[in-house]
Amino acid sequence: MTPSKQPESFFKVFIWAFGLTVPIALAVGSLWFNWSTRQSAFDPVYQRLAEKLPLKNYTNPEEAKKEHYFVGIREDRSSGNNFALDLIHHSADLQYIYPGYPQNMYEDRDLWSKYFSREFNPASWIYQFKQMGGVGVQVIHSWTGCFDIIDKYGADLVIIGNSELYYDLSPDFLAKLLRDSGVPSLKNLRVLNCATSYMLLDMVELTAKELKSRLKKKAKWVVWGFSYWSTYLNSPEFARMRENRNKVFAEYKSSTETGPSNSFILPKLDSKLTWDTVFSPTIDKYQVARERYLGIGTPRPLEEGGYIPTASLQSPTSLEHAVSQIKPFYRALSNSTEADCNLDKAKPALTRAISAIDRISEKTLIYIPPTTPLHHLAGPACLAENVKTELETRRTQDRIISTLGMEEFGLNYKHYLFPTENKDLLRLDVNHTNSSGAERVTRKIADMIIEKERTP
Amino acid sequence: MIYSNPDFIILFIVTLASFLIVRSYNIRFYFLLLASIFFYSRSGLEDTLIFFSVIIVSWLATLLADKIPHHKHKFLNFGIILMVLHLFFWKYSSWALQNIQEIFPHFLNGRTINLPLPVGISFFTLQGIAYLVDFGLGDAGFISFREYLLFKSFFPQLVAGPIVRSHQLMPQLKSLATPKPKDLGIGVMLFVSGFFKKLVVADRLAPFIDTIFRSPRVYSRGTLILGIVGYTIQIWADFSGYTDMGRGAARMLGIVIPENFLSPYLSRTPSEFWRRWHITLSEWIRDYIFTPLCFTALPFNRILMALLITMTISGLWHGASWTFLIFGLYHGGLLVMEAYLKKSQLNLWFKKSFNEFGRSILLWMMMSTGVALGCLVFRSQTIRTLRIYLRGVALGSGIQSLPEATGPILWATGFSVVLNLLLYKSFSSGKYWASDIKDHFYPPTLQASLPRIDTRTWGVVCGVGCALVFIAAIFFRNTAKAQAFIYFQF
Repeated sequence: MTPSKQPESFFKVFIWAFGLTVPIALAVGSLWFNWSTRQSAFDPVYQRLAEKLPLKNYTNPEEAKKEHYFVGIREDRSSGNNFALDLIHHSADLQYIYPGYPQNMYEDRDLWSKYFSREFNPASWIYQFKQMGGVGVQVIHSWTGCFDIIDKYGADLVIIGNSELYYDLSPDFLAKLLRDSGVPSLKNLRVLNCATSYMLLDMVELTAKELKSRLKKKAKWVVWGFSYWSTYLNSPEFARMRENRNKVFAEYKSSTETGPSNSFILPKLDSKLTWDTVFSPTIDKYQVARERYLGIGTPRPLEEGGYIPTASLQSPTSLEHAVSQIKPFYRALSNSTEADCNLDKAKPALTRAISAIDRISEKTLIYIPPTTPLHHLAGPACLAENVKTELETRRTQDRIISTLGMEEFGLNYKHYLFPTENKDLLRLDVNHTNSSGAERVTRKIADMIIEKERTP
Repeated sequence: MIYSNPDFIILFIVTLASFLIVRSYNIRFYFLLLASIFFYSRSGLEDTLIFFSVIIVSWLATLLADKIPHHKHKFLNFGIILMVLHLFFWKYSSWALQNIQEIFPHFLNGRTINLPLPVGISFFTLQGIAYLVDFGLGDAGFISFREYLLFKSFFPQLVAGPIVRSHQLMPQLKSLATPKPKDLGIGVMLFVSGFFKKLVVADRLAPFIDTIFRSPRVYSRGTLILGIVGYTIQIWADFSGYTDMGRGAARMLGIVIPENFLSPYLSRTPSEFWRRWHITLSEWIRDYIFTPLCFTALPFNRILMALLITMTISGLWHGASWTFLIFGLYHGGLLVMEAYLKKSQLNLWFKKSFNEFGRSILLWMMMSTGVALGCLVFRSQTIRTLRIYLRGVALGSGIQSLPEATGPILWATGFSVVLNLLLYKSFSSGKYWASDIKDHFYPPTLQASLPRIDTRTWGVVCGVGCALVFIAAIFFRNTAKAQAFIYFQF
């Protein structure tokens, strides 16, 4: 019988049953969710981290950002089992993200309030967190937020580059190595990480110009991780990347330059009340908590890189064999041919980026972030070679150029492998190092800076 | 304000409570009016001012037409022209300027205009035009300003339809009777079903569809096809979910709003599709564009030309973009093709070669493919995107896949097929398909012999079940962010 043919008594009972069940089910759902998330705290890595860091049990990065929490990503759970860090209320711990700054910067609530209104995008390895938890941890931070910091508190060492840089350079480890070097000029450097995804040549120039407009005094050093493939200007992927970054930058500029309006504007009454404020549990969060507790998860198929059996780590030959099963592919280099090795179009953009960097720093270190042969094979071999040759011509007295490859940095394929939730499988990332790889690269970069500072 | 957000539910509960507690018609009336104005004012000051200007202009036109009968049609025509111009100005002027500047780059010194697009402008403008035409034809009477204000702003139909005519809504707004338990029950069922479709089906599909359509060049053929299927389901779940929630909210207040969807994805022909999809818009364009065009001198076949023009306008009504124009032309072309094929030898051969069931299945498969292709045109923001997408499907040049999308899209497809089947109402018999299944598997003799479930027990089961579906929708919602309804942009 269709609902409209039911007798009146049916609807009376229906309404009562519906009205009573909704609040009861909401209450039961909340209790169940709280219980399940509490279960997830039994994970030993979380317990170790929680002893030393102000962890918060948030699973959605956007939600955490609204609460002004940073989000940590564990190396062994990089597919999404995140945790939040309340560093604003434990300001001393902010030294791990932005090392070397005075305590009043870490306690500057106005600054952080502005910072958390920015886009969060890059995720850098934090060396000290690995020491605490025993597992590599990346923390998501803000590219445009670094402009807010430099505006008020300046910087001594600025890090610029895209994901290849922020995966292989750990800012707090770099600061520690420089501090421990004993070189007076490298003691207590304020290290500012201004990296972001999709930082193409024009975006490097834009970033440097923005930093220039806010810096009162030149930084001592700028470290630029220059991804060689960003000279392949015909990449169809670049339009999307550029659009993405330009949008973020435009939003940042409009919020900083418009200033407060004195005209009468009725506020846009967007909903402040969301289901998260009324009923926070969701199946997504429940699944994350459950996976965290059980230590399970399904590895996702990858297009760049792939999965290899953990057992292949037993010998170099077996690792080599496993790697040889993976097809070289890198999306930004797809469609590239030998004709794209001609750098005539890219040279002016490179020159502009370098000159913009020169205007904000006394000394510069430009290095090509080391990536795997699988990454290089995705494009024509002459591209990387031509970029190296071109870059070498830019070396000056105050500009270190490094075009070292994977092996020269002391890396091998093991440094590009990430644990997965499935202990039998490892994920190979063709162009991003893991936390151990980042330590090696950071050490090498620190050595180059120290050597330069020691040279009269 | 979005129906699926908790702030709407709070506003609605307050309004409903006033209906259940207060007996006075006037208090109910003003409560409903205030709630409706508050509902729309959440779109912003600019939108609200534009909305009120439309209401005032269209009402003044009817007032003058009523007071000065010998100039009635002049006033009404003037009102209609103003409404069309206002729609064109807000919705199409920047697009038109952009296209002019593509041909004449120095036109207006290359300056561009960025106008706000008021929420639901296409819906409330069409409703206003319909009222003026109906008033001119004598099908609608003159109504006071406060009644007209509520008619236009009644929130369950305001921003994304259904496009309700004055003869359907005004008599109900003039009585505002106390809602009966039956109204409340049916209203809750409708609202919950729409809530589930929006939060669980449409919102969970949205991120995958957005990802695929953002860079169709890189995705494999299979993923692109999955994207088309997914969007076809998403737009149905989103739009019909919105309509269900609107109809449910109105029904809980004792007001019946017409159906807008009748299992559209089970249609076998283009004409049947438009009788099942966005029914109130189809009726509007039939009555106010197609029918008058049929009485106009048009070249070639007058009816078919009228059909093509009507569908093209209907396509453009959705938005200022070439792809919407192509969408309209595409559906107009399908309707014209149907009209030709019905009279052709091919139809006779088709009828001879297959039995009714076989014909239905074949036609349904062809129509579903046609509808999905139309959805692809609809979703592509530019012709370039459409071209890249079609090339990707044809050549399979992309290699990237989106495996996490497969499960949700297939699950949503299965859900929508089952729901469309259960609610499929035959135009010829007027019966629901579900009742046919019941009669088939449980003949009336067997039904009579089965133990009867007490009405009250049945009420408890349905009430608890409905509440659990409501909670499940909240629990299964997309955690990233609430998605605005697709049709809000129109």
